[in-house]
Amino acid sequence: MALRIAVPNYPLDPLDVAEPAFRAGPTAGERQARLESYLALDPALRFLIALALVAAISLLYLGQASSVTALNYEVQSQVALHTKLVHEQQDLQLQIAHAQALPQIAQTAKTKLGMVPVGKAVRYLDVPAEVPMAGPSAVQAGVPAGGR
Amino acid sequence: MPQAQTLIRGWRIWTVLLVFLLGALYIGVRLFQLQVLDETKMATRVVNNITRTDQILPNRGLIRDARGFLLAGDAQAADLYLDKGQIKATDVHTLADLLGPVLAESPDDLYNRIRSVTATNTLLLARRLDSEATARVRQLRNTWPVVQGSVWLDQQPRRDYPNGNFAAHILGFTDYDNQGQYGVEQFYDDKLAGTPGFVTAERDSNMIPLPVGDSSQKPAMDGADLDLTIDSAVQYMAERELDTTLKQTGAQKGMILIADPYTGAIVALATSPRFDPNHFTDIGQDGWGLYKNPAVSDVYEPGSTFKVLTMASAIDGGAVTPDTTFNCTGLVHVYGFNIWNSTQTAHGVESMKEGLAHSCNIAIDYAATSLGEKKFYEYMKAFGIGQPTGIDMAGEVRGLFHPPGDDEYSPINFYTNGFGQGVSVTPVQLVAGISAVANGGLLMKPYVVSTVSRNGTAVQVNKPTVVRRVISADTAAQVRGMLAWAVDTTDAGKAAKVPGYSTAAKTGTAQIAGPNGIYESDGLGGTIASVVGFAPVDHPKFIMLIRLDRPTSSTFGGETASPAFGRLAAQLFQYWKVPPDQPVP
Repeated sequence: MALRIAVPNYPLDPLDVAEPAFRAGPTAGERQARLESYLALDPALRFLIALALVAAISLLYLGQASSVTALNYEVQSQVALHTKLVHEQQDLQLQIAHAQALPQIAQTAKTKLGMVPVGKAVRYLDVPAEVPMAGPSAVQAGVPAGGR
Repeated sequence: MPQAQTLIRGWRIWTVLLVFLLGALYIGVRLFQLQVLDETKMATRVVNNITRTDQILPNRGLIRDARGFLLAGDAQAADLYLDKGQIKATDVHTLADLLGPVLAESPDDLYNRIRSVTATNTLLLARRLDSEATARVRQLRNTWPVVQGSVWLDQQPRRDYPNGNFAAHILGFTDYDNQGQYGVEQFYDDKLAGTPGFVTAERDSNMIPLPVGDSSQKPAMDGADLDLTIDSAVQYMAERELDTTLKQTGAQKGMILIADPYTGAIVALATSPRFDPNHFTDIGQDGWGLYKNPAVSDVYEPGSTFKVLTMASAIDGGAVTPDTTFNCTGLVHVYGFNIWNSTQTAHGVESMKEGLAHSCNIAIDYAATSLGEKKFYEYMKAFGIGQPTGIDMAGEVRGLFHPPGDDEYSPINFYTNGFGQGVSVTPVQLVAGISAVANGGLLMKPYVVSTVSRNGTAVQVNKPTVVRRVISADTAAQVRGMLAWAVDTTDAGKAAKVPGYSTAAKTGTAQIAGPNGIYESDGLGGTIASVVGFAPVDHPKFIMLIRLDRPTSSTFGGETASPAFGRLAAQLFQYWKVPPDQPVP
């Protein structure tokens, strides 16, 4: 479908335009006076507008300040929480250390678990030299005979 | 009278107006004074009222053992204060009844303590309350107005040593001002302590910093962590063995020092008596001397254990060999003094190897005199005798050593120093010196901290440091062989032997010099019995010194310290999985 653009039928040829009757526009002075009349507001209205502007700016500032303050309290509370968590972490580290303390473990083993010292715990066995050492042999470990 | 009424009304109005005007004038003048004339002073006062500087305390660094187990860390605690001005005299009893159980103090005692202080209103009731006690105080504050109005808590870190008195002399402790005292806590205090920070800011009524005011801050830098060379398992074994040995021998005190002879790293230092760094003020009748680290701050005459150094010097200097023989008559007379063997018997013709095994004073004098006085003292200095080792623990002393040229030098010293009399050493000095024999001739600098790290990044790594070569590797091997032979052939040595493992050791029994320098009686309870040795002989895994002060079961190191050496060495071989290097009987 062809694009159709509506083109206004402006007179393109100045010869086709009928000569308008001469009409004088407003002078510069008139335009100045008209502008002043537009701006010539009632003083009370001016005050109210200024007041509204100041109030709006103040509200904006107040909103931002209170927002910053609220965020600051949030930051402070997060800092306090962080500090608290760090302290808790330190306490937990110490609790672990208390639980891992060897004198504590030995005491628990003796009193709660009824464990006793084993005395001479090591008994040496004579191993004949021709007996191979324990452990998986090459074949058991799946290495082909001959190796690589 | 309407005109008169009008006049009166007018007068009243003017009066009221005048009052208001005067009031306004006063306010205006006052405002001018405050806002203009005193502007600087007032502004400063306002800033001071709402601005506060808080110190941010850094966390003190952690102390861990060689396997990463925590030995010291910071716990949260608080100091408890009372403002006597905020409490009625009639309420003190109630307060004491409430706080007494929390402070583990009888209410009567607490009451008397509070009443006895009159000089000041602010009274420190308790230092470093733990988190549980702190929570109970907070609960009381919330419940009882008498507590709430008069008592407050000041948050402070408290050093916590989870193992109690375990390795106390290595660690030291941290005092109430968070300053390290003794041990590594003092030596590394500047690194452990960190740097405090601060926050200066205008604050609201809850003392929370205001975001819009002037503020400045410097964050605290936490202290660095220490990783020790101490192995908790070995330390525990050593402390257990020391406690058992002290009971068996009746010794007053003692210590066991275990080190790696190749690196100088201290693996364990067991001491008795020891203190609990968590309660460092509870030192009982031992007094402040209890804090002294016997490994570095206590000197003693090493007695026969010193003969190892003399013999090594004589062999290295080419004066004797292990097989050099001489005739021991049991007595030497020099400078008007008689020098005897401890048994006052003669050994006859014996080799140096036999002389060392017999712990023969005369043989050692023969070796020393063959070497010559000048060389002997040069070797002793090279072994580090009379000088601090530089170990990183607080309070190290240099010992008592008087070579030629020293004000207190006497020619007789030369004849007694060789067998460990007239010279005093610290246990760390002796272990460092004999480690040179164990490791092939190198004097290593002993140390207990392997790494100083901050946030997991190492800022200082203490590597093994060779101070100097003292004797040749060949000499060291010869002396090791002599010591091993002594262990295998003498009763004193056999007690230190672990079946299946070659062991080199030398026992010592030293008299104790009194304050006036005169030896005490060397009967039961009058000697220092010791043994120093290492194993396996060819490539020692450890060197160990056991020292027992005033044993009463026997005066001799061979009968008191040697058995403990053997028992502990057996545990160490198992723990380190050291394979036997000799046939097991």
